This record gives sequence, structure tokens and C-alpha cells, in this order.
Amino acid sequence: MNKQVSSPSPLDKRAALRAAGGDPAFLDELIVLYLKDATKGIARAGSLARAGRFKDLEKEAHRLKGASLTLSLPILAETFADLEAAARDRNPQAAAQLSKRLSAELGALRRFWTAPAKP
Amino acid sequence: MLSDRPSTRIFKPVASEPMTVLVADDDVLAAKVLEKTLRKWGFGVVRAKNGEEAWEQIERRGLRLAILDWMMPKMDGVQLCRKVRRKKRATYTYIILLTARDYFDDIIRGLSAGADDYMTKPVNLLELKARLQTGLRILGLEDKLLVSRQEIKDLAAHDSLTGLWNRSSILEFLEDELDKSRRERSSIGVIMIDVDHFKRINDTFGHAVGDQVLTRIANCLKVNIRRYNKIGRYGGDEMVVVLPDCQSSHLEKIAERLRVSVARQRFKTERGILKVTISCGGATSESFHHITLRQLLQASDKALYEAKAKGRNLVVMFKPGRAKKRTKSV
Repeated sequence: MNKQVSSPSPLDKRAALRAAGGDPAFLDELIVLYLKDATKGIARAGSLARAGRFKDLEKEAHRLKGASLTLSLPILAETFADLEAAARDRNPQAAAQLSKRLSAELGALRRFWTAPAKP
Repeated sequence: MLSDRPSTRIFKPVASEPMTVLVADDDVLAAKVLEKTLRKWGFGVVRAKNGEEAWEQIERRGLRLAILDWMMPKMDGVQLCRKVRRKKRATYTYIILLTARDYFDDIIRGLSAGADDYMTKPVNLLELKARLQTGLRILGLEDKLLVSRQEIKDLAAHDSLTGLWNRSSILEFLEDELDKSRRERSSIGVIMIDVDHFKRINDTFGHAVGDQVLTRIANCLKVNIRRYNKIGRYGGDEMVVVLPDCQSSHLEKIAERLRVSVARQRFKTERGILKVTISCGGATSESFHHITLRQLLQASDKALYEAKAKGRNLVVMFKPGRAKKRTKSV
């Protein structure tokens, strides 16, 4: 649960490109969609945890874990899996911690993806 | 109800057009990837965000290939599988269920619920392609089975010699149309047809020629009735035409048209060209308060008998109490 925010490369770009059928523009579209969806999802997860709605939290975490796996984002997928487990265990503290961690991971991905390509 | 439509119209065969696949997943990202990939492979795609939407799509479009996520809002993949399987459908829906890698026990539940196959997420696209091929193969086999079944049904409903509807089929059609005419308070007409001196044709030229004459007459009658009317072989050289929504005066005109069309023909047989005539007895349900199938057939048969008795090559319309004669020479 107490993992560090992922390395400067939070995305396995080759695997992600493969998932997008080798189409870089489509991959870009997917990443943008993921960032938007996951940002909302993490905020929703935080509210669900605070409200003690663990069943809904588990479903939301499960869905976002699937999306992360689709895009070959292993650390995010793993952290969402942890959140899913925390929801199953009805552990609000762990859920809150994981939500924070997920926000940080997502920020790292956003920076990585939007950073201008090095010459 | 009998139908003249070709059997293939009852479903969309796998090979006839691009197959449309239902992708039901609340994970927009996974759904988008699947959609793009499937389109690239030549499939049509319909998407659903939850189980209820997926069910609606399957129902409305009669989709035959579905990729369902296990976990979906409103109705999960397993519940949806059960619902699809419970419903009796004309065609089969091949279902691939998607499940997370760490939910292995779900696979047994999913397959037991009626899924045909499963895949773990994230979906390996090459594996998906192979599994879809399996699905298409199975649906293709189902298509062949449905076509064969329809062909057998068609064969069983038709007279093998003349190609007309056989006795049981034409009576079934008449029964259905009688019910309809009662509901809609419309009139239904029946023309009973008998080939004049058919026994003499058989005795003089042999049964092979008799069969040829019957077939030629059947063809001649078929082209002289409209699509919504039906003609069947009632037995031996007797044929019956059923004309839904037909008044007595109209029935008489049609019967006369049939009689004349046969009388004008020269029937080519292996024993030369023969000239043959028919007698027709017509009856409509409008003459009765609540007519049964048997009564209607008896009425037209009685009129036919009268046509025969009065010299053949005639149309006689049944009238309660007496039969009205109409004669024309050709």
C-alpha cells in the first residue's frame, strides 16, 4: 500500500501502442480519454469511500483497473486492484490512502504524456 | 401461416453481410479499443454501456455475436447471458464473456450461465480474433441448419408432383384465413377445381401423361392467381384455390379467368399436344353467418359437382339453396 509514485515512465508505450492497434493518434485519443475518465473516477472513489459505499467503490475500482490494464498501465492497474481489495475489506483508511496515491500516479502519467518529446 | 418467402429471410446469414458485434462494457476505453479493432476486421459494432442497454440492443437488432463484460451496471454479464438463453429466439446469439484475470472462478459461473466462450482482460486482440472466428464458424453451422430445416419444411408443405401446396398446407392456410376473415368481418373465397375427364386421359395415354397434364394445369393456374391467393392440390386431379378478402362476384370472375386460361392452352405431353378443360365450383363465406372450413369446402364442392353434372368446362357459384351456373364456351 505504501508504494512510491511510479518511475518517470508510467506507461509501457510499446504495449500501449499495441493495444491501440499500432495507431499513435488512436493511442493519444485513448490516453486523453483515460486521463479524463480516471480523474473523475478517482474523485468518485474518494466520495464513495467517505460515504462508506464500499460495494460501489469496489465496482468503480474494478472498472478503472480494467481500463488501466487495457492501456498497459501496470502501476495504476495494481493500485486500482489494491483499492478494489480495500473496498472489499471495507477499509476506509486504506481506500483514502490509495485514492491519494492514485491521484499522484495519474498526475505522473499526465505529465509524462503531455511533456514535449525530447529531441 | 404459410409463407412463399425464401427460407433465408428468417435470419441474417453469417456470410450475407458484415456481422454486427455487440460490445457491452462500461469501461469506455476497453469498448473503444474493441470497437476500433472490430471495425478494422470488417465487423459492424454496436456498443452498450450497461447490461440493460445490451439486452435492448440484442432484442431490437437480433444480434448474433456479443462480447459482454462481466461487471456492468444495471445487469451484469452473467445475468444477461441467462436472460438471452431463457428467451426463445429464431437464431442463436454467440456470447463471449470478458472477465478480469483474478476472477478465475467467474469463468465457471459464466459458462454455466450460457456464455459460449470467455476471455480475460486486458483482451489479447489476436486471441479475440481467433475466438470470434470460432463464433462465426458456429453461427455459420447454425445458418446451414436453419436453411436445411426450412427446406425440409417447404418440401413437406408442397405437393411433389405439381409443386402446389399440399392438402394439409392449403387447409391450414384456409383455416388461418377463415379465422382472420371472422375477426376482420371480411369474406373469403374458395374455388374447387377438377380436371374434366382426367380418368380418360390416364386410361388413354397412361399415368405419365396424366401427371404431365396435371403439372401443366397447375402451372397455368399458378400464373393466373395473385400472390396473396394460394392454390393447393386437394387430392387426385382436384385443386383448391383460397382467396382471402374476396367477394362472390369477384370470385366468379377469377374462377372464370382460370377456366378460360386452361381451356385456351394446348398442353404439350410425351403423347402429343392435348386440349384439356377444367370445371370450377366457387363459394364464399359471405353467404353464411359463421361458416366453418368444412362447410365452405362442402359448398364449393357442391358447386363443382353441379358444374360437372351440367356438362363440364363450367364455373358454378354456390348459392344457399341452389347453385348458380355460369357457362362460357371457348
